[in-house]
Amino acid sequence: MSKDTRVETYSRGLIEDPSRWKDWMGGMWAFYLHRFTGLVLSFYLVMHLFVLSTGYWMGHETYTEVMQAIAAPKVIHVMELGLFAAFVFHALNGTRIVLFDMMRGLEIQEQLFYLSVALSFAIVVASAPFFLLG
Amino acid sequence: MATTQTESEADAATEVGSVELEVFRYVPEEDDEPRFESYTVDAEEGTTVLDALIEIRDTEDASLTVRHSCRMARCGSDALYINGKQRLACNTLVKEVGEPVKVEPLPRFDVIRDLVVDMEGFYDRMEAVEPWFQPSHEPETGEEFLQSPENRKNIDTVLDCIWCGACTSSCSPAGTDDRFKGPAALAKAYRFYKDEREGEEARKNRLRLLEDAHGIYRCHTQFNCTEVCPKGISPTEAIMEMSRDATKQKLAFWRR
Repeated sequence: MSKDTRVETYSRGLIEDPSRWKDWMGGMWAFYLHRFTGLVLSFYLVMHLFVLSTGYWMGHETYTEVMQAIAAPKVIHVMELGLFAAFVFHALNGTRIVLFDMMRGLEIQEQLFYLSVALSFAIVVASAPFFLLG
Repeated sequence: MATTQTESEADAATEVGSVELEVFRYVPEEDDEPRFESYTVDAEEGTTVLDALIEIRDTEDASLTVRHSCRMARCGSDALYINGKQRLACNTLVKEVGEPVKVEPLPRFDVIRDLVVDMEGFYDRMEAVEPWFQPSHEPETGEEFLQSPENRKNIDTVLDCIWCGACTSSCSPAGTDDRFKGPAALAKAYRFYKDEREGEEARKNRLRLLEDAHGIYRCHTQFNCTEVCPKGISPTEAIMEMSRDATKQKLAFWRR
């Protein structure tokens, strides 16, 4: 970008100021939630492959031991539910974004975002017993 | 009849009372860092934020600097960040935004002084999409390039752009990526992209100019630009249509 060189200017920064989060509108929340859940899912994928690779490198006995150790604490089940929630939202909001690419639903984007949030919430609540009690 | 009208006008102009404004101040000769200053002005039913700022400048603090010209949402000089949203100060009533009215210059634009920002970069972006008519041939004497009413309908909304910079200020990809032209410029590109008088070749060239990672595909559909546009334009829609066309062309490789 070219600058007006006649005067000194004060830069207030180019990146979104996080202190303005209260003013974010639906689309902005959708963007950040989509980014965040995407990061969560990629992080999980790396960890997932890392754990699975113990079976390949260290033999099936070590693998079984590692898997049992991981699945034992209750907190892991809660985290699994969180992962599932991230997956569901990412999938539903991803559908919303694909719709935009096809020029559908641009006028109701905010409602579609709330719909994807509500649907993910319902799906996660409905499947919580399978994660927590199973 | 005349009396009734005067009476209703008097009703409309009832005092809202005093309104508090928090105004972003930065005077390069005096301040190292920007600060906020509070002012109180008397506001009526129809007082706009710009009216209040002018009132402050005229009666309280003559050093307050604000850009304005037409005062009727036509010139696009006074796009400001008012209570958490990019708005035109002349098109925003004091009573509709709630108190205190917090007035800042456009975020992501460099501040020259107080509420005045450096628009050079924005104008560069607007120019980068070649916003001028490019006919396929030079017009012969007496020849006119006539646009059909149906074709003109496509660009009804994007033509309303007043270059105020509100959308580009609200767009976070435009802030972080210098090469991304931003919503205003892409909506302007769309205005020419949809113009059938330019011919198929020019249309393809325009799309080629825009389709890369820093062009139309950079849009993250945050819809901030659509939400803040004071003229009700949806740059997101324009960008999405262009990127859909570009993708379609890419996918139809056997036709090339």
